[in-house]
Amino acid sequence: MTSPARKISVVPDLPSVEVSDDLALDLYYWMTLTRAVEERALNLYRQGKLPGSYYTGRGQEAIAVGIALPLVRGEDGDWLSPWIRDLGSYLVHGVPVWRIFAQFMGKAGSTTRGKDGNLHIGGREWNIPCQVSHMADMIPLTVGAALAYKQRGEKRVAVTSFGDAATSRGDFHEGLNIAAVLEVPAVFVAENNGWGYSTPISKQTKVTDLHRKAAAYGIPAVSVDGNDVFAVYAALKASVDAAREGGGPQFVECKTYRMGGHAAHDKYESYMPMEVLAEWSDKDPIKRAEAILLEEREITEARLESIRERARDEVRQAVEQAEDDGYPDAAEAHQGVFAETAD
Amino acid sequence: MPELTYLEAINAALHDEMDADPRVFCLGEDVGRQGGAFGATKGIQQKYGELRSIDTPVAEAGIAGVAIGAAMAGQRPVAEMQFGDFVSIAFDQIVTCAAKMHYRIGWAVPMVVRCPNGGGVGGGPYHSENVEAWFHHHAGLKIVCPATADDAYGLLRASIQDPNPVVFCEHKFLYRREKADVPTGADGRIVPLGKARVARTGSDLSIITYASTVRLSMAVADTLEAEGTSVEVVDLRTLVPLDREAVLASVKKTGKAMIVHEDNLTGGFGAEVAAIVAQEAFEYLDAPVTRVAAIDTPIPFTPVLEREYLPTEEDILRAARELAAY
Ligand SMILES: Cc1ncc(C[n+]2csc(CCOP(=O)(O)OP(=O)(O)O)c2C)c(N)n1
Ligand SMILES: [Mg+2]
Repeated sequence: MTSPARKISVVPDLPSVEVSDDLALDLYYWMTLTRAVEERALNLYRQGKLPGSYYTGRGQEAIAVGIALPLVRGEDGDWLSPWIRDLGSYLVHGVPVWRIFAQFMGKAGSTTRGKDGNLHIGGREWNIPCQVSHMADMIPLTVGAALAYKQRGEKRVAVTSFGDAATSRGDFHEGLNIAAVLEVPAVFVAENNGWGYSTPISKQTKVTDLHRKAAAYGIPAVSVDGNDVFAVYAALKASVDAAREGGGPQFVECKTYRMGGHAAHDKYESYMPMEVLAEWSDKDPIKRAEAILLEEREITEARLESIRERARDEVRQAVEQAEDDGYPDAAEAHQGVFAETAD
Repeated sequence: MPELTYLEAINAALHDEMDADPRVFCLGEDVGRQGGAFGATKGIQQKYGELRSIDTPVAEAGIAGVAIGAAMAGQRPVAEMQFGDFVSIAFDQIVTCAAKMHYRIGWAVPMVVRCPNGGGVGGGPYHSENVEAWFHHHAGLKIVCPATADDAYGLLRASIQDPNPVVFCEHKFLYRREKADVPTGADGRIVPLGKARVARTGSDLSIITYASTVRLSMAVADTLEAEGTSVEVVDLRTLVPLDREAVLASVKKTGKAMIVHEDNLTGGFGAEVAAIVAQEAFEYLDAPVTRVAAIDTPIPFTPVLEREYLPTEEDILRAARELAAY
């Protein structure tokens, strides 16, 4: 029993996009799974079971999921280079949940076989390059992937996301400028959550509406409510379609708020205004999606609960599998510096 | 077989690789219609079109990053830095993204960054830099430094075919001074990365060198031959991978090692070679390991200062005589 797809129009400049109930439930499922993974991982971190630091994207799940769902998955699909807040992007684009826990734990099943940690996840099989810490570095790489698709006449796109503070870096500007001049099928997603570590966006840039920076390079750009998963999905779908059809690079700014510290160890209470946090808590993207599903789409609470149950089950199994997994051999530290073949 | 300059050999290697593999493409500032500041990419845009010979904005980090992404997405980019000096701007992309990608996820980055390198051409502090030592400390990059026209051709083709990121240091002073009959096209010779060349055999002392100082060392060997000293000249060709066996074999034979490079002395590649020789051929050495290199300053502009900066044939000769007499 599915009601007709709804057309969602985000901004006047973009074509409206159809979101069926099935798709709406899919978006909900992936956001729920994302949060379930992060909540479990945060517990493991607090129990001292995850080495290194822990970063969450709590409150930004709509962006992570909305970016990835319009894309084609798989090795021959679309390139996706997500930012550290975007665990959901990795999940949607195909990375198995247990390998993400293995990554956090530094186990052999990690996508990097323990050579890198946290959200530095990637692999050719998913067409996800492994992001680096250096903010904005993945932007020129994404332009390069898009260039490759254009050179070969393939209808593929390359997408990357990054935080607001990354728009201060040179590689953001060099990357966008080259993308525009070369007219490549790249889609840039800025996640404007108001903070770069402890620095508010007002100290980061005078142009706090980040889509205006893209306009300066001649790239079509829109700004959407990053806590509305349907809006993010629709904006991405329209932008990805435009890029795929030869419309050149596109830019989407998602406005949101960072719902905690930069990382789990960050004492954000000392610098973040608690009343603003409380306001944004009411705009939680999962709660909002639930309200729309229940009230506007008349999906039953039982159906939503079964989705949440499924997510919890997947997380439980994934953690078990990751805990059972071994560590890489010490000898592997020496291996893999150079490739024997590129094919 | 045509006589080609080192620069023409680079151009021929690019043409031949573009011909052989549709994934190969050139990008950089003015590389297209203009054929690059030096003409290394001449004729490529005319022959292969604008999608395979891309004039980019002036944005070296962007150029390197785009090359990395394209390489990961299945192409074989050859990025040109207009001058090697400007690779400082691309440094982060090369060491952060290109060098570590395969180690982390096993995804190869087959790309070449061409760096017109070196002094002796009145370029001053910003158009004369030798950049190889900036990169050799960092795991995950191959570093190629040809000394002859033949090698410029064969090593560039090997670099483009290599599945790893390669920093290709082509020496500007050699561009028009080195010449050879270089077979190209179907007869072209690929020179494998990691194999040094004994440019001259000798028995009394070894000069281990690369790029512009190979020809100076050869001239020194001629002079010393007349004085009754037999000098072996080992041209490293590639710094990474380093042909340790060739270095050690030569030093074990002659018992005396001198390392010569145009780059600054301190922290230069010669220090690494000296350490290897000291550790692995200690019992064979009849004299201290010697280095001849540029002085530790920026590269000055005016000829009298630039000559003072650069290691000259006289500098090498003097040091070699001392070493021979030790
Ligand atoms: C080039 C660089 N400098 C510094 C850092 C350290 N650092 C990590 S995240 C961060 C702030 C990121 O802010 P933003 O881009 O807005 O992303 P958010 O954390 O808000 O998602 C900084 C400074 C870094 N990763 N890269
Ligand atoms: Mg931010």
